[in-house]
Amino acid sequence: MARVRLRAALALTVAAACAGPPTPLAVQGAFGFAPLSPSEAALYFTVVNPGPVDTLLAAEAPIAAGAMVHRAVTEDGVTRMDHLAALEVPAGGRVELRPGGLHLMLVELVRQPAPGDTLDLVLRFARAGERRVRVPLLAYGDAPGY
Amino acid sequence: MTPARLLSLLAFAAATLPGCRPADRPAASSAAASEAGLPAAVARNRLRGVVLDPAQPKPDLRLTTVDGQPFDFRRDTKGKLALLFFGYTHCPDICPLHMANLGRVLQGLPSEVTSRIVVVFVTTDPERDTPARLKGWLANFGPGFVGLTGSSDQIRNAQLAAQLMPAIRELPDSAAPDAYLVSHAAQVIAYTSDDLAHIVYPFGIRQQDWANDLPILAQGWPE
Repeated sequence: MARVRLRAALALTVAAACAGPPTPLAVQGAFGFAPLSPSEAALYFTVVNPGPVDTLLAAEAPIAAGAMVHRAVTEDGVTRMDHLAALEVPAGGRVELRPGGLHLMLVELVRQPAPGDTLDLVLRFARAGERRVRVPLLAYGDAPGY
Repeated sequence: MTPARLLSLLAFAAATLPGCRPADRPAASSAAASEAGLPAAVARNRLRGVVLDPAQPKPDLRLTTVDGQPFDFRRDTKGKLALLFFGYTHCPDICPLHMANLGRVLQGLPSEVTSRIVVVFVTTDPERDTPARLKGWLANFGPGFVGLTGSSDQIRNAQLAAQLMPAIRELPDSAAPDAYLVSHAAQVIAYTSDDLAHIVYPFGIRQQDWANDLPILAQGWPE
């Protein structure tokens, strides 16, 4: 009897969790490299989207005049950076920005940050709205996984 | 099959498959010490770069260093392991990461290995990469990087001579007219002391891979 009651309670809890508000879209694992060029920097992060399809529409960082998503594409032995006007995040999926793949390029930096600094970044999504992200900067060469 | 049996099989596969690289590989210096005297076939099989077949001849590149000196690629790298890369300093992703990973590993290798290695970086963006800018940028990666520049025609011909597709300047996608991108080949070409490139290193090669390969290649192509 006790076991049956417990099962019923569990079932109710699970049902309540499923009916509740969906887990919100999250930005995880943000990092960047302290730029060696006075004008550009690359940032990386993963967008985890448990909800319906969403789109990253814009990014803003106080340290830079502009920010754009680039995708490295290699064709015929030449690697180019395609500028993406928007970045779709699939429903119940994720998009990872990582070296050699997708990155957020900051352009026209207003100051030169150093390794160990943290940058403020605002990402604007079509459905989820704004996400504020703190982005720690590494030195190039301090990310041996890439 | 029991789960335990399956797990042990998987662990065995992970430990033996050539594609699986545990993160705790030996560090650069111990790898260097152990490579000397390996049979050539064993050394070759250990390499992590992408082997070229057929090998490519070392190109006749004559460009100018960041200090304004003439540089003859064949003559000035003779007998050494010459690592050739074409890129540009406004690149925030592939170029600095590729060079920094290489530089970090070189700094950890013993001098008897590094004295046989020269890294040559040719700018694909001679208009914005002034000699002073290129020199300052390369200094981030260590002392041994040779920066080369030349006219747009010379640099285009240098890439063709190295059997690469020449870099292309992409139209700016921002309002600033000098904020253009440069698409270019992203592999480091390794010319061993036989004046041939048997192997290249695309972007994605990690520090542990460089640490594994450079001590082998610095002794010449294992043939």
